[in-house]
Amino acid sequence: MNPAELEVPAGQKIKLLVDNQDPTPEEFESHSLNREKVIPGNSKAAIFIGPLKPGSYEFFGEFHQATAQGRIVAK
Amino acid sequence: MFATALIVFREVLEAALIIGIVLAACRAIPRRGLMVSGGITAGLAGAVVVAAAAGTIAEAASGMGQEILNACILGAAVLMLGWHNVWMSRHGREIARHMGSVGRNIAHGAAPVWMLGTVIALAVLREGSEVVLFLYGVAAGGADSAQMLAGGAAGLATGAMVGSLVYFGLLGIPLRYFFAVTSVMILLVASGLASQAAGMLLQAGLLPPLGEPLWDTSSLVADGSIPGRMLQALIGYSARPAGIQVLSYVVTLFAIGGLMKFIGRMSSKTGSHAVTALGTAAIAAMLAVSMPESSEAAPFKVYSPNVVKGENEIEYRGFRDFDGDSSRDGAEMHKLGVGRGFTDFWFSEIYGVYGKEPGGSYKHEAIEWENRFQLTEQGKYWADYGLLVEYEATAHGNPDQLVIAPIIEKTVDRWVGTVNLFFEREVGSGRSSDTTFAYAARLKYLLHPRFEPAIEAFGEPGRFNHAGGFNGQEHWAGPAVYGAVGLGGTHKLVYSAAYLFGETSVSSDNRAILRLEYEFF
Repeated sequence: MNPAELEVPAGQKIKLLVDNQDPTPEEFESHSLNREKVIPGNSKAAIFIGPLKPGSYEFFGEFHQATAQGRIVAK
Repeated sequence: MFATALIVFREVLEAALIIGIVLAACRAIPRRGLMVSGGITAGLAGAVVVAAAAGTIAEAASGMGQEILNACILGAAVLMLGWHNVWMSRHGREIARHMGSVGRNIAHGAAPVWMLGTVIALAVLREGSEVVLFLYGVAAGGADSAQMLAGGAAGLATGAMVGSLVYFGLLGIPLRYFFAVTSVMILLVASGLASQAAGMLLQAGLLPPLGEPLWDTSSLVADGSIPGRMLQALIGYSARPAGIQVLSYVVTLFAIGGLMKFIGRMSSKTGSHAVTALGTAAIAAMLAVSMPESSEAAPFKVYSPNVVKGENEIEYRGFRDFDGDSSRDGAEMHKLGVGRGFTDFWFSEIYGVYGKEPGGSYKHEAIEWENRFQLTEQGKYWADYGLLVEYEATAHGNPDQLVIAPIIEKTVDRWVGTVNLFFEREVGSGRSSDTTFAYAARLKYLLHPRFEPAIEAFGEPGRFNHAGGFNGQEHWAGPAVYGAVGLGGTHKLVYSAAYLFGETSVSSDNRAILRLEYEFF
């Protein structure tokens, strides 16, 4: 995940753009954000999140959970 | 291999649990095996197609194709499960009675059989496409394909095993309780799927969160854990649900649950009429959700759920606004309607709508066709439920409107609380693409038939995905009085008046409302 940590403003609706740069599909998933979305290989996907309370929200790629980890920090 | 098995298991689990429950609930229905295998095959084929088209789907609907497709799949499954349950509430006892007699055909068996096949196909389709994509990803990533296949097979087998456990466990329930238990389980599954569908539309930015998360129980049971997944499939558990998900869950639970009670107890003829009316309402509701927004003014009448067969009505209602600002002062709306209670659960009314903008002149605005359905017998359940379905053909080339409003009324002693939740959509050319939400609420005290004091509130928070701050929304509240006088024989005049205060800067300072209904049989 790049960036592995993303800072966003709290209290706002945010459109997250996830770019899957390798040819295999991945599922963007976050329990703390209550979101999941399959992203085909070599393509981008938009996910709406928030408004978030200030805090840290983990996300990961379900198909490569061991390595694909990141978090969103709402301030 | 273990990681592959685990992921496949997690995805398969939900479909397996649903299949297990549905299969058990449909025991003793002829041609069941055929529909089950047909459903699984169709679902798998669909899953492969969806996986292959993943790129195209993802790009559709401005990048929200995946969410919308998933929401449609989930919504269709909710409708099917709801239909099944309502059907079973009428025929379950009959089936239980005939179960012992071999080879005896069960009347009306056709409906639930194809319903069963469709639900299974949808469940397999939804989970299957993710499994296919995942396995493709693993294979393309250069992993050992034999290992991958073994892992996938192990995950699938474990999932299927859990599904079978549920199935055989349910079959072990004594017949007397069997249909009651499976109906409740299907009700919970359907509500859970409705909540997931709402989650998908929220993720696509098409529904407002209404509080996200509403609560957080991830320290008790986490969403991604196996117990979390199981609870999600069985009762719709989510550790951090958004308000809109909870709302969808509760509305589905009460809608299907109420219908089961209501239709299960009716005579078979009224029952089939009710199912038809409901089908129409459900289709109208789906249209409303799939179609765009309205700019209708906030409501100014609170509807009660109860309908009287054979009652005729001539109705007038209107309001006038008062405001220090001339751009809001003097707005008026008047509705004149003729209606009749055609059955003991359906009341239909046609209105002419006339309006006046501040400083403008009177204009004919629209013709409205309003249908009110009484869904439960008055006083039978915790609350009385109804549904308002309204089509508004507007003049001056404005888009037409479709309005769906659940009605809930609760009586405690002499206090009657009533809430209407309006969902409005524009239809036809020139429509815009959002749902507008509005509400009407009333608390009334039954003091004397000719004088019942009340408090009323009306408002239109606005378009669903663009609901601005509270101050940009229209809200009114204030005192009202209701009453009725007999005019001899079956003739009656029902009146009410309200004087409301605007709660926000965009609402007029005051709104005076008068309503008159002349009722006769």
